[in-house]
Amino acid sequence: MPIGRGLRTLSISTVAAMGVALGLVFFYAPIEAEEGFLQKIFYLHVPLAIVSLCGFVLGGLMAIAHLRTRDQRWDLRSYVTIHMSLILGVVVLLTGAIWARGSWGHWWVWSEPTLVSFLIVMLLYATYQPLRFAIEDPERQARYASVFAITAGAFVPMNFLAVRLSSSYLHPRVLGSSSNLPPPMALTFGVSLGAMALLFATLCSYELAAKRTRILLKSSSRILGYR
Amino acid sequence: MNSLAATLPQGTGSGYVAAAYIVFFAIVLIYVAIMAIRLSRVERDVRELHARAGQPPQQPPQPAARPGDVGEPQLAEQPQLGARPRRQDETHGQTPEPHTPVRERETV
Repeated sequence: MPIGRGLRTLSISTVAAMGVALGLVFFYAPIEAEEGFLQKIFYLHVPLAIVSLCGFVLGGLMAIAHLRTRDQRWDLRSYVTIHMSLILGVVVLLTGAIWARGSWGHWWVWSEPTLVSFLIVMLLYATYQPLRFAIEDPERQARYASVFAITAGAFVPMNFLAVRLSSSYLHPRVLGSSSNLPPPMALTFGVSLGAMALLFATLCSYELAAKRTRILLKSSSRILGYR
Repeated sequence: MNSLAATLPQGTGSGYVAAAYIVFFAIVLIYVAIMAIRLSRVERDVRELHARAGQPPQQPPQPAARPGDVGEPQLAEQPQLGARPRRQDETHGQTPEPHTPVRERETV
């Protein structure tokens, strides 16, 4: 498959989806009764958190594919997915802190399981790259990174479940039986989630295309004898 | 800008909302800028490779062939893109192995 195929379509779709999502957030979704205008952060923070956590799990699944097939492309995909999830995770932490400050009056609440569990996940994945690049042998590096990605990827849903079962309900619950979003808000949330997923896919595709181009370039220079 | 600010509801945390969205777009923008820098580096390497590929290969002076000599020409080791040339003492006086084109593994 040619490098960067479909990137233009993906990019245009992402920009369009982001535009529609922003339009819905600021001009269609009603102002929430309790939090008021501040609740608009919800349409950014929560979809980003969901996409980021799903990215970590996806990275684990790709790592399984790598260990099963020994195909280095799966390792590359797993690496890029986790890398991108980490970037989005940083945005989640920052927007969450801003929302917490506006809503609760504190930048961070250590007694809130949702915040702390997300921080734990982020700290766990922050060790992924140092671990990976501490190993010089590419074969071993890919294998160890895949094992890490699978273990950490399994930890993410368990962590999510543990938080759900916890008793504290300071942090608003979005998905689940207690969710009672009115239809305009639910629609806006759905579109925002789709837009964030598209953004994630686009950034991953760009990163993959860049990495593959560099690999191809190295290979070409080697074939031509410029090694 | 002032008219836009006037449309925002006052005293309902609009500053926090603006801050959150600005942080998001700023990080995405920084990431895209980093990608652009990396792309320009790749483009520069491609140009360099293209320029080198257009030149005739640099070969060391061959000893004059005697009548009846038959054999494969030795591949001269070419420097890597952007790498300094290796000195003779770094190769421990041995002739470097000719490179065989192999498929590059997709490693990070």
